[in-house]
Amino acid sequence: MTEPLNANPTVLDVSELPRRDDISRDFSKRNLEKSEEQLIYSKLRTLSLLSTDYEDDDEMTTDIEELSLPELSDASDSGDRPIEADSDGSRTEPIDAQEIYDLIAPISDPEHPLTLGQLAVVNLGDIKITNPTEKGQIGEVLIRITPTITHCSLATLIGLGIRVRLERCLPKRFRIVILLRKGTHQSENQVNKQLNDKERVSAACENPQLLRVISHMLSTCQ
Amino acid sequence: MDNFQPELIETLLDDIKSNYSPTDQLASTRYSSFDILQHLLLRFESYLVDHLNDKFIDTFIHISSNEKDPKNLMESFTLNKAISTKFDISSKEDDLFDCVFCYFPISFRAPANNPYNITGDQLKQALRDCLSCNALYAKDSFPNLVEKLTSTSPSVKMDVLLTIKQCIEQYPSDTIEEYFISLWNSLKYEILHRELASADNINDMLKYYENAENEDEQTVAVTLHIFECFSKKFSDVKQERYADYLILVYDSLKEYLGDPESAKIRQSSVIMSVFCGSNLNSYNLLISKCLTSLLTPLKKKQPSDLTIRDQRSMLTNVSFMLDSYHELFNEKGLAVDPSNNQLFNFKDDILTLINRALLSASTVEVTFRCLAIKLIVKLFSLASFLEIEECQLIVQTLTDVLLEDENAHTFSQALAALSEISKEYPMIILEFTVPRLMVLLPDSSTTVTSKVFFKEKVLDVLLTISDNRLIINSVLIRLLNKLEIVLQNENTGYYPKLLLFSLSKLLRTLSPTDSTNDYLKKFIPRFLHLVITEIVIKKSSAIYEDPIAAEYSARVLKEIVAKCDPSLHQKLLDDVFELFVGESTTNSLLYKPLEKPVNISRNTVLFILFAGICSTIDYKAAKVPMDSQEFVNSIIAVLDSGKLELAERQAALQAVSLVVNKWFGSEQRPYLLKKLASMKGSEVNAGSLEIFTFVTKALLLKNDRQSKQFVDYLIGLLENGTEEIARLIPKCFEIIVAEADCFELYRRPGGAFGKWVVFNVNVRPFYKQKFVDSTLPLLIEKFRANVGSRNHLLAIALIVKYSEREIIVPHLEKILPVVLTALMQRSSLILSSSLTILEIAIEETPELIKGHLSTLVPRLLEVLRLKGSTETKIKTLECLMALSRFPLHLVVPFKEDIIDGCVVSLDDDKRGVRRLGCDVSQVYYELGSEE
Repeated sequence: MTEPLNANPTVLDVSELPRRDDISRDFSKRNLEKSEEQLIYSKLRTLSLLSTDYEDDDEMTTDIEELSLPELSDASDSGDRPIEADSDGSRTEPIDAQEIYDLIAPISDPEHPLTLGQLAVVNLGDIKITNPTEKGQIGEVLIRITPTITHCSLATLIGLGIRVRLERCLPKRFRIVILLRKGTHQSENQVNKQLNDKERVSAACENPQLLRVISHMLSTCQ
Repeated sequence: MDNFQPELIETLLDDIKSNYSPTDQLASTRYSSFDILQHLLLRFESYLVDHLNDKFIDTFIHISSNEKDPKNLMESFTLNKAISTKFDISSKEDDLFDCVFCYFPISFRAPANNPYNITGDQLKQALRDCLSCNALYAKDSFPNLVEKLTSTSPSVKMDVLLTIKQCIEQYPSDTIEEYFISLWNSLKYEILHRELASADNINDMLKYYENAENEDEQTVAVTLHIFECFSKKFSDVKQERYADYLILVYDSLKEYLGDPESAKIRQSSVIMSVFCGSNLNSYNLLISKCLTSLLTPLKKKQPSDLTIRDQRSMLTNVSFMLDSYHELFNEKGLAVDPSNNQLFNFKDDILTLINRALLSASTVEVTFRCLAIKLIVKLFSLASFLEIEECQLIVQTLTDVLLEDENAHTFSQALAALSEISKEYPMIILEFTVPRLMVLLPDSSTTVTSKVFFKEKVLDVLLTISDNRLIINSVLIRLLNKLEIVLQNENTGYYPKLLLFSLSKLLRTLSPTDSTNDYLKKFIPRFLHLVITEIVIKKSSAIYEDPIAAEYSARVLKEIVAKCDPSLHQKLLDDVFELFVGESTTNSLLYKPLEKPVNISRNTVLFILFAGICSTIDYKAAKVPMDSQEFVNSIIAVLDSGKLELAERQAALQAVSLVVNKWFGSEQRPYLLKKLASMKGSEVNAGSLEIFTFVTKALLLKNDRQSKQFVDYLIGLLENGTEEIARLIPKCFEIIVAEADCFELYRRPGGAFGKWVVFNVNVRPFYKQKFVDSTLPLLIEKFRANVGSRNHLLAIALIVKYSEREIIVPHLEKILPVVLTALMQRSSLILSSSLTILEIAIEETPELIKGHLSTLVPRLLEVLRLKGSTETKIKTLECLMALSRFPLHLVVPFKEDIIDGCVVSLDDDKRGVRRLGCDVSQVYYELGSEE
């Protein structure tokens, strides 16, 4: 049996992958006692007849968008939400590089039983995202991937897998650019061109056999 | 066979040998021949051994040659084993061996219907039993097995290894000696040429490989177990040759062990640890050699030349060697003799290693320092290994790391280690860690004691290491002292409240069996005096009339009362009444008199403390020291006066509810009936309705038979009441079913057979189910009668919101039509409850849902599109996810619609919604693609 040339790439342990900061012990970002206070008040309001903004809920005719139900909807989830100054539900969490990373890192490598994150094919530092606050505007996601070896024949397939995953999971307003990191592949330009060519990508996605391979790669994303 | 004489055996055997040819016969006939031999063996064993040894063996070889049928093979193997153990096989061993070994390795896999009732594993095991039962086979079996070890198939390899293992276990040690070198030389590469999984100790590693899914990884565990067997065979120190072989094992790994940069050092340490850990004799023989090798760099190089990599390698591998100590002296419980145990000679070196990592290495070397911390935890876990002074030194070092290292990872490791140590050595933690933490707590929120270690962090650390009663006792008093000082200096409420909050959390870590009796004398008098003075007497205090501070104090008292002896409760309750109602200023609950008397009806914020204490008093052991009706009336009077803050009013209501629940008996029935009648008679307002609801809750919790009348009255109000009141009724139902802190259950052993029973409140286990079963159908019926009655719908939604799945399931069929109507609603509260029910229904009674898919799916997508609250969106997506598990032909028609519908959630403001949206669309993209 001939061993594949990159049979032993360095593998990162799942615990070493970058993840969203665990704020549970980060005291600068939260205030335990304050959040407990809010919890107490929300509990009290649940049990009180007099001090509720109960009537707010009564607008049968208004659209849901206009409806505010502060205490009733808060009570159920305020337990684990990081509390900010006046924790209304309206704080937005914009799409950021970590979120993109979380989307693509669990994709399986086509030839190893490992994920792209574990093989360091995708790295948090190599994801750039331009995310305009206005939802009508176009955003861009730029990802540079690092093949495990410079002649990795599957770089295009990996790139295609990432593209399919992102196209399925990101809002349509994002333009997705996938490039190889400079100097990591022998035929870097060719691959880059192939990965970002609309026609070729959509042609590839119509190939049932290829699609099956990609489905297999994406099956570890949950 | 009764009349069969032994003299006939020889003729029979001759006949079988010369006139019977197994190859010409069917399997069942061949089976008979094995059967005959079995029977002969059973009845005439000694005769056969004495007179017909060779002939019997020859006959067996004759009939078993070329056998292929699994059932017959089992017989053949059993016979072979019997022969090999009982007969003299010295002249026939080759033939007998060939007779078995020709089948090796067995690749038989039972067909689906398994006509033989024999599995491949049974055959493999039977074969193994034959090979291992007689040491005479060693000369053939070991060389042949070693040869097969080169096989590329993992399952064959596994079989070979298991067979070798069993042979080593069964053969005597002088046989093993002969083949030791050849076996070792071929087996060691199974480990050395492999990247081993990362694990903190050998046991974890073995477990990982034993449970591995592929057989290739399982071979690692078996190989290590073989090494264990090797080591166990060294049962007597006088076996000098055997000892030489064990040393040879060490010698062949020596070059790797001594070189921290070697790629095989980890594998070698694991092997040596397995050898040492399985047998005390091997341990004594080898441990010192191994550690000397492993620690060479420490001895040979100048301290400045030692690279981090060297030290890291030493830490990792020494840690494996410690596992062998753990295995022998902790797991097997052998006695430790420090003068004779060579590991003790290396203690100083190991401690030096740890100190270098924690004291002189840069804090940037996170994984390196964490390794050292892990090693510390391991050292502490070793039975009688560390001296108390050494423990103290290590704890000091660890405390330094905890306080000075700013890296979050190192910090949490050090904290975990200290918390682990605090379980076994509380005194050391108390002496060296707690004081240093306390110093960091400032006396007021404006003083800064440390830039890294602000007070929230200190308190969190204190709580984490307070894992032991002794530590809790000490921290409790120290925090109280701190609270006294802080309250003198402070003019904002945050810091004192933080301290109170920490106190309440600290007491919560006490287990129900920890007695708090001594706190009644040592802690409560000072605490209560301080808190009452600050909250209601001293107007300048930072927490004057602060309901939150009162709530935390109430929690502190609640925990202490719950965990002290029930025989003290009556006195406690008497004193509480005397203090809060009787306006006494001196009391056993206070260490010195209050400046002026207090009373709950004047100082209403004290209701919070009062309700807290009442909630955990054992209601069977203590009675209210005044007339309970009168007392309830007095609280109601306060409530009716209407000048209470939210928290105070709630506490007063809880007090009413607690008294009704715990101390009202049958003699108070007329009183309650009168209350009900007066409700019916007069005009209802929100205030009286609220009191009524809390009384109803109290009755319902104890399944009182009056509760039905009360609930019926509330349901009646939904239709009969004024519009304003009817609108409040759903909320009343919410109050009834929602969890209230005052009805939190505390248990202690006390029932029959030491069962744990709830003592503090009278809550029946199935009250909610009973309530839902009787109320929900009624509400559904009423809702159908008045279609569009929003209040009914809301009441249903609120009851469902607080009910467990098991309680709802029986009502699903009736409730589903309501749900489908409710999905047209736009109130997020109703939507959210309906989605909850829907999700339960999808999982529990899919058959009810199946017919409605064509209306349900578009409706769900519509809910998503309309952008409700985060909660509704998440629940909708969860419902869609649950639907994907329906049979394909039902959901595939909606696939495209659902994928399109989810797009809007991909651009949601909340990350949780987006993530779920991704998952749902991913599932639907793949739906049906497997076919």
